[in-house]
Amino acid sequence: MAGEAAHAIHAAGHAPPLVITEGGAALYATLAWLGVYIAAASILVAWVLGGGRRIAAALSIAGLAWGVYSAWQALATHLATGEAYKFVLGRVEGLITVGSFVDGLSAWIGFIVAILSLLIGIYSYEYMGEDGTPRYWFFFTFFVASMLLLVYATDVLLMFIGWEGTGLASYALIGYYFDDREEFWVGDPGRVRLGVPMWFTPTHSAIRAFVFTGFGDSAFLVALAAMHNVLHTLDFTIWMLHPEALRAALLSAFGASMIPFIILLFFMAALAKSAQFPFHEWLVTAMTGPTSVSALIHAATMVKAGVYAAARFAPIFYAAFGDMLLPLYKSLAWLALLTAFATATMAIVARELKLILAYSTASQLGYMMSAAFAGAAALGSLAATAHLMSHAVFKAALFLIAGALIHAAHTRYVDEMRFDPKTMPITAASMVLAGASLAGVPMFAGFWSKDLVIATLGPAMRIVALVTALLTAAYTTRMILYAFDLGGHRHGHEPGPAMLVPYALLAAASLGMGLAWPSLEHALAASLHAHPEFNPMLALTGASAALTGIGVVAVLYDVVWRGNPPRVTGALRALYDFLYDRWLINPLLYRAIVYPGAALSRLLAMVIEKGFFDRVYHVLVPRAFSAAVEAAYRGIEAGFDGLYHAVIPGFFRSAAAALRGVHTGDISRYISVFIVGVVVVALLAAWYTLGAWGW
Amino acid sequence: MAAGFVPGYNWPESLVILVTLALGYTGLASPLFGVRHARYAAIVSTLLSVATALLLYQEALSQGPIYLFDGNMVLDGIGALLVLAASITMLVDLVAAVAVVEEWETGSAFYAISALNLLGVYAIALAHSLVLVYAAWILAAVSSYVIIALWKNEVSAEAAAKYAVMGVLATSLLIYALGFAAEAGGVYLGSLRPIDLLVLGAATLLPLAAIGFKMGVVPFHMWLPDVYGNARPFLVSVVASQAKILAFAFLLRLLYPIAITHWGLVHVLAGMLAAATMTLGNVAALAASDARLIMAYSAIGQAGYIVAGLAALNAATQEVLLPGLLMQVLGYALAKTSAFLVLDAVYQGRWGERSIELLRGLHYRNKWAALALLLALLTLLGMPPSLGFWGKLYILYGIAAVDVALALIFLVNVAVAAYYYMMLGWRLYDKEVHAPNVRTDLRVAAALAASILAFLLGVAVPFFTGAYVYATPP
Repeated sequence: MAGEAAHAIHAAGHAPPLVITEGGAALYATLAWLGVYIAAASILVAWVLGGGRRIAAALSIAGLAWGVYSAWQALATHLATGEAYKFVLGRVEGLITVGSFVDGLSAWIGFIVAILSLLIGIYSYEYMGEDGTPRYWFFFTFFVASMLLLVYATDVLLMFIGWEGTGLASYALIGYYFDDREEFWVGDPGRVRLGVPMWFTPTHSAIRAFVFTGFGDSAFLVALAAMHNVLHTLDFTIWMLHPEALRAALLSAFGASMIPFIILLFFMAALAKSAQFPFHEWLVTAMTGPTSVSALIHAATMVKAGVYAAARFAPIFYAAFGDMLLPLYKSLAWLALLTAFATATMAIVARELKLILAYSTASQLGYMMSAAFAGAAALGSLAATAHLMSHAVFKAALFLIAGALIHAAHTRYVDEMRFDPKTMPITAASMVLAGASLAGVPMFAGFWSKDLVIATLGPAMRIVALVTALLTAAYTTRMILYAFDLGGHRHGHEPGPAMLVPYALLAAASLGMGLAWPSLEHALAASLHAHPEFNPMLALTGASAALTGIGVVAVLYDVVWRGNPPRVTGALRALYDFLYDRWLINPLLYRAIVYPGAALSRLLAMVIEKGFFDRVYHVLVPRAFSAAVEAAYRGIEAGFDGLYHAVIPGFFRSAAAALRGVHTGDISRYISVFIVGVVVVALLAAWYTLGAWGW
Repeated sequence: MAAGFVPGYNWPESLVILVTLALGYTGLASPLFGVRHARYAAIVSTLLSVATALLLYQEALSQGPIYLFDGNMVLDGIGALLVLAASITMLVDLVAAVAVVEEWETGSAFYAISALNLLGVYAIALAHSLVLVYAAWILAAVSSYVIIALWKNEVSAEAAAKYAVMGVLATSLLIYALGFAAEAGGVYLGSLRPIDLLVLGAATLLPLAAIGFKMGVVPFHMWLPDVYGNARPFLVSVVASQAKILAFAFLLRLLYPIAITHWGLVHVLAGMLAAATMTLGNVAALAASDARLIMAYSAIGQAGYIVAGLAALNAATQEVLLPGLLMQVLGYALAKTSAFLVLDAVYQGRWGERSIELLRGLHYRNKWAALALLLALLTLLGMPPSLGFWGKLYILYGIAAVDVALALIFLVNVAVAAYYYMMLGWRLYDKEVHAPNVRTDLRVAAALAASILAFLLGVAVPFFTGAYVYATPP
């Protein structure tokens, strides 16, 4: 396995040496994130000034359109010349370089982020309706700005700022319905496993997301601090240009045995953000947010930040440290495949539409991560990026469709939907198109990109990936069959154009991209300096896996069970429950970490807080003070009271009255006081003068 | 020295000539063309004066002390800053005047007299000869009597008359003072010949009495509560602020040479007067029941702080005290102007009511007026970061270095004053409203601007540290 990864890297060794041009596309990239941040700030200002949701939405969509324009300019400039660009806005010496870096990777991902944000922003306007408060639009726009910053940043610390910005926005939007109304819960209320509740409210989910990703981010930050300490710069273009210096500095500072550990810490945030096992738990319950948010943040863009980081940095570190990192990369690739497989099995039995899509997202992220780590260098980046793009398009479409379906059906359970497709023809067709891409039906974008991913893997990994592909096709088919047809007589209605057009476009795009794939892949490969080779056998196997999955499920559900699958019993029931309960990962995490942590907190609160500090602060100290005050009052205060409240005020009152009494308004008296004053002061002066003479 | 735009004169001289022409025109000719013309002439010439003061200050900082007009005038840091302070304060009053004096038939006279008053500031702030000191006194003294008398009202007229009678007494003392000063140092200021200490004592005491009268130094203060408490508050806002700036300039120019060479003399005389002035002003203010009267006594108390600073002024402490005194004077002038402008708006049409209850709940009638008065009170009290805070801090620092007893009296007085300032300040925001409706006119706007300036200029402390006297340039 190690050999294959190394082969892939050597294959990419033909890439031309990196040449970075100042300005150009990177200037546009800077304008992209800066402009969207300005839009977010103006929403905040408008909000403070009392502006309503329409103004906020208009500002947001205008900002997102600006983002698309700038990101397109950046991509177009890059494609025209094939060069990498860097633009520095400002610099704090020894700390951070504020600026953008555009090469094939960031140009393509940045553009995908921008265009999807705009489409989903437009969809949001209708979807959120009255619920789309300025708070929604602010965090939505702030998210897009932070995501663009993350992708374009030339400095890892700057990227980290964007990274945390996306995390903050994600937290705020998962918990958007902070009144925790039941229609936005995830999981079945009342279901308990291992004594742990299996349903999640928006506020709970928001905190989970923050804590899970925060765990990875903390490790990332530690790695950044360690590396900055040694390298004095986190501008990764410098690492790209001088891998040997990166190697020498880190090796001498930490020693060879520590390097994989540091790199693992570095990638922890990527694993957490991209929901790799066992961090995938946060992504699953993040579905409590508005569906537009799930589509943009928790499917199309933010969760790809980890993939971007892997595709960006895995080759850089490989160039510096070489085979030293292969065991680590291999383990991470296997972890990614485990994620892909595990979440696919969960999706097979899930009942909530958005939950199925969330599992599927984690699963597809697993594909991308495995490609980024196992493939390493250019080919891995190409596969990860290609799948990232095709997935962003079809998964955004599926989520937007899910929003429309849940809206129309008033239930989040897909097996209760069963719409008559004739009543929602465009939505049904869009779902089939986007679903086909997810399932990997030949000629769709998902088929090609998944094929690229599988091609980068070694034989053992390929088997897992192909099994997962089969499962993917199966759960996708099941989902579509439940949503439409299957004897469905539920009358749906197409949503308005602001919702319909974006997902119809995206669904069409997943077919269109598939049809245009050869040229698209060529452009992408040229950008990333990769040279993929088409493997007909592999493509055929992948296609068979997908079609088998689709066929088996279609026959089972439609022909054998006639739309009503039987309730399973016995061992199958146990397996079903095991999958339905997400491999019991969440209860185990809660049992192993969360509850013991809470118990420890309670214990500390009991013993230290209540037992010691409370007693000291609320019993001992107050008693001592009240005794002292009592004593002081008896002895001293009463005396002072008289002084302050009777003697001094009395003195001032009479003194002031006496002084005021002099001012009678009689001018002759004034003149006499004046003259007497001069004489008195003159006498005093004389006294001083005589004294000075020694009299 | 670069040649100026007036042939035969250098650059600072040309500036002074230009300003004199502008202010002279405003004072002597502009009323002939009607009140609007006088208003614009006054505002334009005062703006010109602000600009001139800034240019002069820059010149004084970069070129050191400069002697002008054959040694009759001297340009130093503190002179330029005094001119700046008077010009800014005057500008505030001129803007406020638009809402007040133009309803009077004497309206144009106000603008003319104000310009002459400002001209007096130039004469004394830059004075280096006794002749100029006397000319400045006449300009300043006469103009302030006229200003008080501008409002045709029986009580106001009586106040103006008292002011003028007492002023005659003070003027005669000043003439003696100038005689002794000439005996001690010649016609030009700045150097002393070896002389009988008795002459020097008279040269110290007589200015303190004559000029102390103008700023309300006890026991020469008797006129002040009558005038400040009874005259139209708007007019008091002009007189109270300009008088402090003028009087400080007079005392500084006349006493500085003595303070440097015979510091003990100034210390004892001014120190006694300062202790009496601070204490009487602040204690009497406690018992006053009319906001205008409280402000009048507070003016006496604040005069005490300035005299206390002068009492501690010597070669060693001047580096701290000169900027401190300047900030105290400017902060006081702006805050007092603002306070009397707000009182003018509040007491409008209720001149006979003698109660501080008219201020109760002012915030709920006009929040800008209340805010202006509150900021003014905080500046007078010495709340950071106001000019009042830095001024008092620097003065206290200077006094404590030479006279701990005076420093303690100073501190106690600041604490007592805090009580009555806050008694007023608290009333403004009381929910029980007795305040009348107050229109937000130019008067209130000018008051707010002055208060904000007084409060926020405190952050510009380094700007004022260039306040040096020509005899001892930094």
